Amino acid sequence: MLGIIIYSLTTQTTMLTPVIRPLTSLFLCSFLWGWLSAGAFAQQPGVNGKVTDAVTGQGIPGVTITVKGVATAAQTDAAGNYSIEAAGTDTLVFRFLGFATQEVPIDGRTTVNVTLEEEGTELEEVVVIGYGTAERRDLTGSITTVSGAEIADRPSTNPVASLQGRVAGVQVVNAGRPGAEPDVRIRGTNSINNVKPLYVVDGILNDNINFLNPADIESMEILKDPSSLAIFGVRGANGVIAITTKQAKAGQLNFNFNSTIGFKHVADQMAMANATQFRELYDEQLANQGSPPFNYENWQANTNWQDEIFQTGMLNYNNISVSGASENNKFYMGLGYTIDQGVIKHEELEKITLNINDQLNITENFRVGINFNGYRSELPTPNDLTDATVASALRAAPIAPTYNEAYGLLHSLPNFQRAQINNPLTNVVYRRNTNIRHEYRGVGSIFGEVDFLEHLTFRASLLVDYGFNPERSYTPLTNFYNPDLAGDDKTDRVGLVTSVNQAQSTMAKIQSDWLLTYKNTFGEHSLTAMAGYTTYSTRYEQLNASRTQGSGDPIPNDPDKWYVGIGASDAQTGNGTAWERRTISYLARALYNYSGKYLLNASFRRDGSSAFIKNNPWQNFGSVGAAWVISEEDFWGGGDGFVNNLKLKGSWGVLGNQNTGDDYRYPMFPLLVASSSAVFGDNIFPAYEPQYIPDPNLQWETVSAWEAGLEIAAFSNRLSFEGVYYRKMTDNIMVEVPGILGTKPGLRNQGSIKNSGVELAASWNQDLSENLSINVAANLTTQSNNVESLVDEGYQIIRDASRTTVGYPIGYFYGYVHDGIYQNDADIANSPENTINQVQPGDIKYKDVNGDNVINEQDRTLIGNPTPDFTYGLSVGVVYRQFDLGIEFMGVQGNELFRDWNRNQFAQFNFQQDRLDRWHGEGTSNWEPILNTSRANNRLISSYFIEDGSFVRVRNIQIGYNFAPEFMSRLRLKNARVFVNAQNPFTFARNTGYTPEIGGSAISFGVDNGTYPVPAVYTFGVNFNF
Amino acid sequence: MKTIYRRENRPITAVLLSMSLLFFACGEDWLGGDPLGRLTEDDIPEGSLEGQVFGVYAGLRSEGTSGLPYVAIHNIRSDDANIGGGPGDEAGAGPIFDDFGYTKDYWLINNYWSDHYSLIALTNNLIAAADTVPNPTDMTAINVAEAKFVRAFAYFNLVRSFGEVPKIDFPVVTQDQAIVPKSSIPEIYALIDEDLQQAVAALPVSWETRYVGRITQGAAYALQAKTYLARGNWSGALAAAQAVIGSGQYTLDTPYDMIFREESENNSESVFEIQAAYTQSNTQVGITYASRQGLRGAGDFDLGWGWNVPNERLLEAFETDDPRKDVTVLYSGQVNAPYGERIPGGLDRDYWNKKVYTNPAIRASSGSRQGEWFNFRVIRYADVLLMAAEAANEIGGEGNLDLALGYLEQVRARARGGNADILPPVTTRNQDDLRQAIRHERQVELAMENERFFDLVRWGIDVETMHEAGKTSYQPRHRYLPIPQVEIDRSGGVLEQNPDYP
Repeated sequence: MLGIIIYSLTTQTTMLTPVIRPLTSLFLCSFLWGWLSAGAFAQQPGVNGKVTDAVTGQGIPGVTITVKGVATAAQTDAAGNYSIEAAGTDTLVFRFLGFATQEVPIDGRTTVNVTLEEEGTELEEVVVIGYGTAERRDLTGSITTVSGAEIADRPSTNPVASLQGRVAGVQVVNAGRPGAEPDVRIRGTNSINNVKPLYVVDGILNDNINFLNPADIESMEILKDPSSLAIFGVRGANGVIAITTKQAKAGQLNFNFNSTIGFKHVADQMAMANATQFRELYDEQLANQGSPPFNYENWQANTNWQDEIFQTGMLNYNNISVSGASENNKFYMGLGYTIDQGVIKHEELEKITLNINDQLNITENFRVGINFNGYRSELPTPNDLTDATVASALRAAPIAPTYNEAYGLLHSLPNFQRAQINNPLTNVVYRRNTNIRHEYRGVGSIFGEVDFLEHLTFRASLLVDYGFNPERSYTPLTNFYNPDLAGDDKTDRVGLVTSVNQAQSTMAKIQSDWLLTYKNTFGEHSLTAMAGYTTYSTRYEQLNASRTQGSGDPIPNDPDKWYVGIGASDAQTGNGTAWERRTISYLARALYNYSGKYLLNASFRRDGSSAFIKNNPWQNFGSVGAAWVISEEDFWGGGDGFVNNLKLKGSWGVLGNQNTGDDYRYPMFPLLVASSSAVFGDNIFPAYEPQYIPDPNLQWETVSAWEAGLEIAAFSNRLSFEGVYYRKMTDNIMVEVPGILGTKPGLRNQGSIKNSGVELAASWNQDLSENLSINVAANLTTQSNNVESLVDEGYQIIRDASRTTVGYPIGYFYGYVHDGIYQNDADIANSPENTINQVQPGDIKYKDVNGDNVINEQDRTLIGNPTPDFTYGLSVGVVYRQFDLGIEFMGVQGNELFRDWNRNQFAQFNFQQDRLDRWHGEGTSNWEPILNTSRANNRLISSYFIEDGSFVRVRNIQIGYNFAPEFMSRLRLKNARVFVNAQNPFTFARNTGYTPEIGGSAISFGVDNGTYPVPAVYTFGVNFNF
Repeated sequence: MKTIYRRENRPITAVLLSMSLLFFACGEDWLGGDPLGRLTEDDIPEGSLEGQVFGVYAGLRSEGTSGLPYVAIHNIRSDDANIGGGPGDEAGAGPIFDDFGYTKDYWLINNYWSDHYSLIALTNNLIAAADTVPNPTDMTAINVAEAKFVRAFAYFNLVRSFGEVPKIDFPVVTQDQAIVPKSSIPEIYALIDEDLQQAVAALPVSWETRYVGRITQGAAYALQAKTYLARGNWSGALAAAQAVIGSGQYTLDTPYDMIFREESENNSESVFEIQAAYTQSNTQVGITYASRQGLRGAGDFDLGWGWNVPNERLLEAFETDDPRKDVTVLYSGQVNAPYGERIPGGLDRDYWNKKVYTNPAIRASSGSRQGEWFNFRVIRYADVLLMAAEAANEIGGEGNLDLALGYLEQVRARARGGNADILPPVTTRNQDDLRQAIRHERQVELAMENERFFDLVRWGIDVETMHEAGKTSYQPRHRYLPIPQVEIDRSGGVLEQNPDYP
């Protein structure tokens, strides 16, 4: 019966064609039919009864009842009642996660009621480790599990974003854009190159998870320590986030529908000057500089540019899934549709995801399975356009009107800034919907697994990820109304030429895994060993072309026309590139324990990489971990005391990092760049020069790490605590040694960085009464980062204000120290002499750091560190009868930000409100300098631009209501929940920008360039299971 | 989980295991490795330096060697030009280039330094690569000569601007090799002299038409003459300049008002010209020389940043009715020849550099108003004639006096353009008076062409001239700029700052 249902569902879904806005009526048919048959299914005659919780006496829904030796299964309903076909001589087996399994012989009864008792849950838990699973109690490493249910209701399209503040050792910096990938750093910043962690989705190794729907996630495991990571070889050094998607649970047919709808808006605008304040400050500045006053005749408006560009964005996530399982077959399918608008007008992300998996047991020892994730997305406005919009909204003068009615054009900005920035509405209005970008992706795998010779299992799997990104864009004519033009026609033609650009890129990843696992117990000894071989290949190809209108008419602003052929054939450019990487690896692992008291984990991996095929492609990695479960010792006295579990653990290993990003796809082949060409008259001759010189012994970066800590579970497992000290040293960092004096750079392994810190995580669960239960979880991570060596003593990597040198944390800020303002000439005479610039009253006085009574370049020092001293999170959950309340806090302490969005002024920008406190006479200010752009002294990199990046945030507040089981069973629903959720409602921060969370690259982060705001999101949602 | 090995499973396991053995056959070969879609050093034909030479020409187009830094350091600092630009630029860069308040960290000076050394690196690599070419041809020697010319050009700019600079004449492979202390000025000139001598020996007198504008022997002689003049070596300068004059390759046939129009690029007067091109289909090979100085208006008259503008002193320097004045100065608020465009009034400046004034028709067809296609005329034949005249006059003697007067007259005659009523010929035979006449002629013939500042310095009249012009903060030490602080930082102290700027 079940087989027929599943078969029909399968055929119906293969007919499903991609991509339509409302949920398909096909689906509605399926769920109705399934619902009816589920009802029918539950009404078969046989043995029945009720399963209750030993502690509360309440019925437990979802308990799996099987008949021993026979392929029959059933599940309890919302009230705990079940019904199953069985003979009087059979034995029923009752299973439910978190409770002790019970086998009860029927003995001829027709009603069998069972009481299940809770077990020490966490220890029995099975966690995903690389290339397999293991029970948590057999592991010596630090793995944190976050269940999918905890993040499913969060308003974020990327599941990792919801991890912020929940996991010790994981720092997540979110960006506010729809669909934005967060900046994730696990246990500090490892390298100057890429520091993104590895994502493993059902065994498929990947570097991003845009294609995943958070509602399809069963659980996420974050692997942080060397004994868990060494098995990943060259991809493991930055940590691993392993994600398991939902599979069907035995014995039930389940439909799930959930939907969330809400809105988001920018909670706090930045404090910028309005028109009156701008006039006051600008007039004073011009007077200070001795320049003629500005004529405001055409500039009488009072525009709040931030209001002009922001909107309240709407978001809507919908998911429906169906899963069913029998003894031999498990099937799950989920379909999701998301609309997520940004906070800038006309920004919208649309996403459709499909997840199908099926596992079939052909015989008891032979299983095959397939897993597929499909994804189509219509991407929102590209980042460079939204960034430019936000940045120009902060800089545009408030005296400029937005629009001119008579001409129907946007108004240009005043002449003092027109050359550098356009009207902020340019990208919002003129470039609205001029970028059509789609992303298609299919990620799938098939596997076969066979058990043989009693203890061996062999698993072969093939995994494929194929993505295709087509893109079409259009550059319109941009005309502005400019009152400063001479003559009668005030149309300022800024964009003179229209053009069309088309681009396509494909990315294909193929991975094959061949794993042999041996599992056995000899007396007190228990061993799980694994040996394997895996290959991985990635290939990226890209093609683009563009044409301008040439000498013809402008290309119309109509999406149907935006194909390259419409432009002039003599005004075209084109380009195509590709790259490929392949890896072969051998791996081995052993998990050993002696009577559950003494644990030993060891792993080894040997990777061969195509990038180094020229000389030596092979590198070895490995780890060793040990643990002592003190609570299992005889002298401890079993589990009678209040401490249920006490485990001391430690591990050490060598990991690798091949993630060098786009810069070095082929490190050993210095590319001949043909982008420079010689010109003679009108003839162009391409020129070739090598980009850099690689060291012949180049290899991947390695991380040597160790950790030591303990795990405690106490008070009947109500309290759990984990504390770990970690220390990592990254060596052989791939550094491009420049071009000092403009010569060819070299590529070498010549850097090392140390990261260390303490991770603490604790949680407390308690049932205060029959109706009230509470759980509290907290985590705290300290981070300390230091660059141990980098090429040589004086070597620096400078990215504007961020600097990386030996002996300092990575990406620190370096400059002068602000020590007040010179109030008058006597003040200047009495202070150390400033030899960098001629200073006058009103200028910033810098501190004489080295005490030589002269202010010069040696008085620069570390003025800020963008790596926080510690991060922390706290979550509190209360369940009272049908209601549940969850509040999460998170915070970051001890990092600094660099305010760069108003520093370098080649044009006159708008003023921050803080500038109203400027120095304009003796004693008027000791922080804000005089308004005068000729005073170059005040633009030097100094602590004037440093802001405290510490913040505390109420990350999430959720109130939910679970409808009562009695009510549910009348509606034939297994359970239903409604909730309201507020994300980021309150942030207590001390910076001037929109958000204190600013990510960046490995060597330049925490620099505020006018960062896109992180909005507050309010949602309402429903969740049904039936 | 206890499982029993069943006979029925045997065929399935056998199949799986054998499949896996097939896959284990994937060995190291599968790793492959050549980059896709890109050339590597293995792909370049042996013995060819062509690619690298073209890279050197591309290097000439960098901002520091052909853009605003060059113009600021060579021309804005003179007595007859000011910073220009917008009011903000005046506030920011005016104190540095108009009032000589040099700072050690200013982007224009930093760019000038680093772009010139990047260019030197390209030439060093080529010259060293020539030693490893298995079958050198004549072309190899010519390519090396082209590289040596460019290296000499770059070092000549650096030694005039900064004084003592590091001498790097070898390809740099490791970081430590590039950290080199300053060399003395005579040492730098020794390298320049050697490079130019070898260049004149190997360069061709002219090139086929598809290489129009490529470096010739005449260019090397002309640059040689400049370097001798900078050191007061009059006989050397005269010999080099006469080599150019005697080659018969160059004439003054182009009327003065046509020299700086796009159709006269690479004409018979052009001795050394940095090439640029820009069309809608190729926007990557232009230079910023015109846009940095282009008139700063609004709308259709937004031709650039408007830096480096003539001042009143330059206007007064021209003789009565000298037609070269209206070819040098673009006036705001009136119609200007030859395109008849009416430049709007009410702009930030009254005068602009007309020697970068682009053709409106090309502005329209290329889709850009910024003049990226406009070549940078570095050395003209008129300049060579004036150098010869100056050198001859300084050496003295009747024969040389005649030569000097003759060369001077050629330049003035072309400027006259057939109108006998203006620009009377110079006939004085007094060395001092002729010296003044030649200096005056250099100022008005080569106005706004990046010669004036270094001319004043080498004549020794820079301090008095600047003070006369109202730029009273000028001191003798301002001849040389301070070395950029960022370079001193990078060298870890091996590179020492100019002692005039502690």
